[in-house]
Amino acid sequence: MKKQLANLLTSERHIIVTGLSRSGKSTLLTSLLAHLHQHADSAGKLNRLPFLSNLPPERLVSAKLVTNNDAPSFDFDTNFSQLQQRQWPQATQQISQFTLELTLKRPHAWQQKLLGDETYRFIIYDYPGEWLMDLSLADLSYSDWSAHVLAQQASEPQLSHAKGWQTLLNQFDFDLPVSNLYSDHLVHSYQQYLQQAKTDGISRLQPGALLLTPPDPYHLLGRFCPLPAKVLAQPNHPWLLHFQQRYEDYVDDWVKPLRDTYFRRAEQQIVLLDLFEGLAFGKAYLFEMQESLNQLMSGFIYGKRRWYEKLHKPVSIEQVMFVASKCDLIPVSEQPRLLSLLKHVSQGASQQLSSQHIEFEHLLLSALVATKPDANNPQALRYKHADGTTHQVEFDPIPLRITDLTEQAVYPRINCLPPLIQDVSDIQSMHLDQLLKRLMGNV
Amino acid sequence: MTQPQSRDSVIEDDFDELPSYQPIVQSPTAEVKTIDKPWYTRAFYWLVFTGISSLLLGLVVTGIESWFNRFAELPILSTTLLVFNLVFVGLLFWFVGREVVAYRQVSQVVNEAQNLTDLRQEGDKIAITCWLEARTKQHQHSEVARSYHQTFWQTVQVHHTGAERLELYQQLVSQPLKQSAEALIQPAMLQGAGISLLSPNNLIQSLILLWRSVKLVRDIAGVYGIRPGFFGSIKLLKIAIENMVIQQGVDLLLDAGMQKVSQGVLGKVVEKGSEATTTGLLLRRLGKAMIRQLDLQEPLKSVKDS
Repeated sequence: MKKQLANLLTSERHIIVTGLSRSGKSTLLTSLLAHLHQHADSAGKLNRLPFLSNLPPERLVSAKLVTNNDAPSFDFDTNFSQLQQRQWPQATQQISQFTLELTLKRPHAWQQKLLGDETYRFIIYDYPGEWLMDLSLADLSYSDWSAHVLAQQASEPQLSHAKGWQTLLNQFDFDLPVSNLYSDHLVHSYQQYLQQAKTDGISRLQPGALLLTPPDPYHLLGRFCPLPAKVLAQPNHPWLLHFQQRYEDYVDDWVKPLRDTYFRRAEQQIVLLDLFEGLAFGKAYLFEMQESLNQLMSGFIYGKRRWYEKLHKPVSIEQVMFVASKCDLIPVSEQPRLLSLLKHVSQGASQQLSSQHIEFEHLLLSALVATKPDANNPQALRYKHADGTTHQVEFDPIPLRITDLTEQAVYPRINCLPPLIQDVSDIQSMHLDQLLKRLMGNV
Repeated sequence: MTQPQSRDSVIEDDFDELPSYQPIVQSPTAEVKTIDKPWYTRAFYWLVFTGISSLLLGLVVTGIESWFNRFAELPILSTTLLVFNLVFVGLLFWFVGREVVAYRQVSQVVNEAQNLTDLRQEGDKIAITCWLEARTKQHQHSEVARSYHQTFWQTVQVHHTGAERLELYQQLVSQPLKQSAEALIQPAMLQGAGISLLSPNNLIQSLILLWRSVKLVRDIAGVYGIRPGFFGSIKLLKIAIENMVIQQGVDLLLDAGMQKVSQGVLGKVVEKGSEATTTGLLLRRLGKAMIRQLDLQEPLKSVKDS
């Protein structure tokens, strides 16, 4: 009876970690699990998550992963063993999820006697960041998307990358009959542009399927590219009809189910941003990141639901956290400036949320600290370079706003190895407890 | 902004061997802000210091003078007296010195809440860290406080801001210390109440209450690592003295009231019971007031809320 009552009172929350490719989603989830496992065993020992005051180790009975049939399980063991071999987790190729089940003692003895332990389930999704930008396709027609993409390519940072592909597009004879051979030639050229642009730090790239193939049976989807205005202006042009059909198939068979199954079930959202990627490529890339973020937010539904509305209103995101990842890549003294830059980059998205009265916060995070400070110079850091040598890097102040950067200014990119890790207790993080505290709210 | 400079260089050290910590205090010049005392207070301290020094010096000079005058006549006796004199003066010096140190310590503790409020408003991480280090030093005489401080410094990380450090301090040191201090109140209450119930007369009862109050004050100060000394205890016992006055007043009222209400055994039991309850409650009040003086929960809680 007590068990049945406890099951009835089990609380379940869906959390979506929204981050573009290479923003550190998999590392975050691996670190989060490692820390929570440790936290459950830390009663009486040193507390590694001291600000997680809403989940004191004395109350936490267990933190475990529960398998769920909705999606493949997040592969903690593989990611952790990669870290142990001093490799960052491989880029995520497939959607996966984990259900983190926290069992807690109740705060009062009489509640514990009457109801037993209480259980919270946090369902968290991991997925390839490349798919994220595709969410907005669900609300656009092929012609609109095509015009939008070509407009983006007309300015930097995409302009210089897209020159080759645009020359091909402009020279292509669209009076030729539609055939798979020509079509594949166009798509292949567009794909090459996308891949190069991604390597050079550009984030607004669609469709994600050309960067990362969807799993079977969807691998044939996503074989389309934008067409020039002269073709789009003729509604019955065979090339337009051809790519339009492919676009609609992609949206209907892949994007919409993906969005509805995973992305629109969340009540809380973590927007993970790697600002160092932008800083390493320059001002235009940071502006592009800002645009990407605005576009990305349009793929989700936000809204506050009162307790009685939860019975009939569809799920919507009620809490958002903008998180600048990898904050250990700058000295601690620069972190307030990084936070200011994060606020500036997410300004547009924050305004959208404010207008809908959605709760949001800005945080810095390092899921896995891979640098060490220099005791004699607060502006310097030390790290193990990918080539195995130890480096010391000294920083100029991080800009407070994107506009503080000159056109050519770029910051050094730190290509570091993970720290030496033997077991979960070696994983050090920064501000992870602050993030968890906010996610867990009043557990 | 000019082009940011990348000053990335290979160094000899092995990354895996490097310490992962950074000295928490980054500037040796950073000091906790001290409040300047008014001129009349400083003048008073100067007078007291000069007076005591003159007195002690006078004793030494008189001793040496007597020894010179009497040495030819009574060499053994005069030398013995000189030695006693010097030992006495030395002990007096030591006693006064200890009292001064203890008194300063108590005054400093009593001013901590104000210091903390100022620090919190300024939010300077280095100044806050210096203040926290000073607190650790201040609490070093208490075993229990030492262990809480140890846990605190093991938990605090280089990236924690000043406000976060204060929040952690509240959670890991201040709160458990307060609980340890509060645990001393109940036994004191029970002892005080028991003695009141059994004591044959009011004088003995008052003396015992005074003794128990002093002991409670010293025990609580001990939890916070303070050895208050005689004058320090007096400073802290201002509240205890208030207690005594209240207790005497209550005794008088009870005497007058109870004699009129009843002359019988039942009346006596009620009277004694009331006295015991009052004694227990006064000791509780004293303990709570003392903790309020030494504890920093309130200003630290404001950190958490801000």
